[in-house]
Amino acid sequence: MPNMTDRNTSGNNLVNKLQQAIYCLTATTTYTPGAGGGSAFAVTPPFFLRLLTAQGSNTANGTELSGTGYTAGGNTMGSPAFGTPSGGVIASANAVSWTAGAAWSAVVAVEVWDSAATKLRYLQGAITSVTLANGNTLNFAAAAITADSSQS
Amino acid sequence: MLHIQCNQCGKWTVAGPEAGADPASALECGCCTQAHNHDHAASACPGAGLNHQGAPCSHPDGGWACNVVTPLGEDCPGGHCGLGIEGCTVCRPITITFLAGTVKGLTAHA
Repeated sequence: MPNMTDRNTSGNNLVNKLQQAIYCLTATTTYTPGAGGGSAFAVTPPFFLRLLTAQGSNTANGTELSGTGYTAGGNTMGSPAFGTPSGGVIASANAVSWTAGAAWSAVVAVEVWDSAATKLRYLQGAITSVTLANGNTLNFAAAAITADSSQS
Repeated sequence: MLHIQCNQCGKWTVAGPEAGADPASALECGCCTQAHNHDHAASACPGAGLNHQGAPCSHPDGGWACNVVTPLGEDCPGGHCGLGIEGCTVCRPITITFLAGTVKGLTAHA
């Protein structure tokens, strides 16, 4: 039974609920499974959006941008970071922006990280490559970033 | 698709991914009509983000977002010059926006 999901928008909406349980938090939340159900884990908002000059993969981090006007670790995505999911797809709830204080290398991907003491990466993906000159602003509008948790 | 807007006059355009490498060239507005790369001088500013390397700067944030550039070694043509002034070196800052739904399918960390 590969890729088993429930993204029925009028049914149980299990994938939606899972997304909400992670990406729509406004406070640190610890999930503790029952006996034999695995280890407890915590999700620590707010989530931060990082800009990358080289994309990673689902198992390896990419190369974060280093440039004037960009702080390592990225910018907060607000709280909550994502809006109400639908059909297994969840979209960012707030705009995130930077203004380059010098010419930047091409930004080719983004990553979403939490705020834990040892920060954890949650999402990653490519974007349209964009190069900023000094003084230019890069903005991700609300709902610009989407994650589809029902895909394999 | 990228939404590219001039911060000064507000004129905007929507361009395809090919515009990402040189977004300034994808937007035409009346703020700078010179046939040059509007980004070149700004990106070449030696004081960018450095408060002009210690030199006085009247920009309210100390030069971090300064968009006025005088080439190194040349006299400033008049403080923070402005549009329509002869020899104006005001660069044209723009905002590049990823519109709703344009960064799709981020995947979860394994």
